[in-house]
Amino acid sequence: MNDQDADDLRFRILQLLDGELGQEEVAQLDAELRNDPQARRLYLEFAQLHNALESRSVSRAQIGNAPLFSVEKLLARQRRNIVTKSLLAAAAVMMVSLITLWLMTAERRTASLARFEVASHSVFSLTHPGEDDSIPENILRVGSRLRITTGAIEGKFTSGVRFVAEAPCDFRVLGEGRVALAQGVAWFEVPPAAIGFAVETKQLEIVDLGTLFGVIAPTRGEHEIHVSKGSVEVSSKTREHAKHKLILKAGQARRLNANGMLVSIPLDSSRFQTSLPNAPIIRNPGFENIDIFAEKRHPVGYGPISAWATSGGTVGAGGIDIPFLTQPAHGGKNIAFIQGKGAIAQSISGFIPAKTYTVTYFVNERGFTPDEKKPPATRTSVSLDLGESFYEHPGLITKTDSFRRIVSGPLHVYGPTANIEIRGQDASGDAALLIDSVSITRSVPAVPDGGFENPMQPLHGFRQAIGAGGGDLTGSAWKLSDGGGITANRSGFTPPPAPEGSQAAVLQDQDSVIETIVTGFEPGVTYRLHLEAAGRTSGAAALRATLGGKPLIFQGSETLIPSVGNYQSFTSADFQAASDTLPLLIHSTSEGSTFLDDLRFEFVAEAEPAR
Amino acid sequence: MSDPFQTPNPANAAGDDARQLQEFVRELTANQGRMRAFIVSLMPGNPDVGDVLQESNVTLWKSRERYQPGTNFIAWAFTIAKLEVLHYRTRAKRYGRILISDELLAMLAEEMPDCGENEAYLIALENCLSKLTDKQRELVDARYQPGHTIEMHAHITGHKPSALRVALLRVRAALKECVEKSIHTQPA
Repeated sequence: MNDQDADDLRFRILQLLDGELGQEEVAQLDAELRNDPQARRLYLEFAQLHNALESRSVSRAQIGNAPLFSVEKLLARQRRNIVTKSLLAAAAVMMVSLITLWLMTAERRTASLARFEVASHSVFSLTHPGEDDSIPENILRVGSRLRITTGAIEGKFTSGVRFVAEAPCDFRVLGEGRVALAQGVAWFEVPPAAIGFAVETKQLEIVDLGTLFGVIAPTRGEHEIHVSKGSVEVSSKTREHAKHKLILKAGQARRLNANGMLVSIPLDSSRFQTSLPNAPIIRNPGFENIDIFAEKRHPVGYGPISAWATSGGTVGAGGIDIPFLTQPAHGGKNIAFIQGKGAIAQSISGFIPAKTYTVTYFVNERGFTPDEKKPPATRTSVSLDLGESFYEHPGLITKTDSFRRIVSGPLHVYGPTANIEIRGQDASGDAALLIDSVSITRSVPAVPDGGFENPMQPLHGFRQAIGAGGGDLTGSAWKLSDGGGITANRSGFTPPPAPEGSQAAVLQDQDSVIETIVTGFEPGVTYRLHLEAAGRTSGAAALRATLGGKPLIFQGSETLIPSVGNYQSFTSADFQAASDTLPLLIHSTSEGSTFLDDLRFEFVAEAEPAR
Repeated sequence: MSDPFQTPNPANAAGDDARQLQEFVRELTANQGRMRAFIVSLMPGNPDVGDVLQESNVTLWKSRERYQPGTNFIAWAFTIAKLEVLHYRTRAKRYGRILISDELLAMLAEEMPDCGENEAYLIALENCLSKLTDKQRELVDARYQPGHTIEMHAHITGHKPSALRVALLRVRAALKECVEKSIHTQPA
């Protein structure tokens, strides 16, 4: 066996001990071990090391958390915790050796069903049955109850089930394959080996059939189940509809209405976090939490916003029944609105003071009211840290067919806790700034006018750099050439509705180019570029995108060819930028026309600084 | 040595029972590490090692009267533990867990060295762990400490989990070499 083969064998043995080999790989290694006594010896040696490392860590965790025990206290705990018969039998000889008992039972009593990690500066409480304080603080076992007041946790059961639960949340472990969500929003990823995993809320019982799904269980209001992949069996727990049971498949979602019926609703995966965020968490980011409205509701349908403070102007939140919301919300069914010079704000924790952050939110304006002669317009700004770090969006916000994405410039913080404040700037009092889906991430470079909303094209109009169309390109943040241009919805190109705002870029036929300068890349940070693209029904133009002259890779290729008729999301491969400022250039490489919209960068990860 | 033909003295019998029980408990305590190592080697990658160890302890406890001080406790304990592993495998197959073959299990159970997790090994391991860099130790902790996972460590450090797994494999291979070298160079 050469060195490379020996290395390979060592690695596969360790992977086997870690449980990271698939069925076929295990079978192959199994055969090798059966046929080679030396390989078996190597395996046993690694198993010994693996066991010693595991035992050492378990012991350290127990030592670190275990208080001093008296025999009486231990006996009382055992009675409360209903441990196995062996423990009760062993208790009879406890006077012989308390230490023996401790060693015999420690692993069983502290055997975890799940381990979890907490988002920075989250606030939570964890209790175990029998108040057993010997359990490490981030372990869940049968009967453990986790209440999250602020932030989020990500955990994994020994069965392989992964979950992310967001505050406010009340989460109980009922068994290895069963949890209760008394309140909160939680997302679950269930591997095939754990099929049958069940989640209970006060209204629903959900049994997994191998899937990704999310559950929304407000304390008051209707509970929801959203299935992203695979399928689940969901049933109503209300008595009169106990037999109302459905199989939901990928792409389906249901809400249990007041009549106890599981009604169909659109799937909204964006309402669930699937991993801990790389930045602090904003509470009630989509203004969906309207539980407290019941008592303070305004006659026209809006009320105060849960988790957000409001000031100035007329500020509130609500759904389709408020007079300001004339288009569908960006996410969920509710939005916040600001009339006049008002603001919404909340204090959030979890910032790293040396880092900068980007706030992203979606805005719209309510549009004409009967006595107005011109489209009302407003402005918006966002700040962190009580306004000391400030970003004002340069353009006016007018009514668009879809909500527009606002991406702030880098915002600084001066401590782990900062105040986020979003303002409306209209002084007339007539315009209403509609806000939805607020999020915060480590800072990303903003793509200048990544939604191509400026300059505004005439109704159903467009303009290309070659001079075609009745619109205008003056003042665009993009340099456009040849068949590159900007088109409004329902123009002569018959583009599909722009997913962001009312306009999109168009690149027609070969060698059309759109280009802008992006600034704010940081060294050592990994990014991705997201964009929405659609081909014209008569045929799509293939595109190539470069950043600083280097091609961006989409779906393993330097060439991006969207399908025709509908927008499709594209995400580039991860990359690091060579410079703070780089040109982003997209050009068409074939005949046909392609529409582009909602270009934005994503922060993926930051390399650990060298020691 | 007791005379089998002598009429038993109840007081002496009670004393013998107590001593036998004490000896049993001492052996059981002293061999927890070896038993665990044995079970780990027979059910690699399986999170239920603790349960099987506990079931083995329960079975041994129920059979404690069969234990004769001075006999080979660890051989008996390994036999019981192997049976518990086999019982567990019957259940685990129903849940689709990936298991090694019966043939390999039998070979490993036969060839398991009777060294387990002894004091010299643990001292050598601590010594070798102290030679790791902070990053390497954090990686080992991320894998083995309760409540930590490689994915979470990757999230915190900004590395890819796959890269951390490869690094962890290398660290453990180096640890194994270090421990073995350390044990072999220690004075007898």
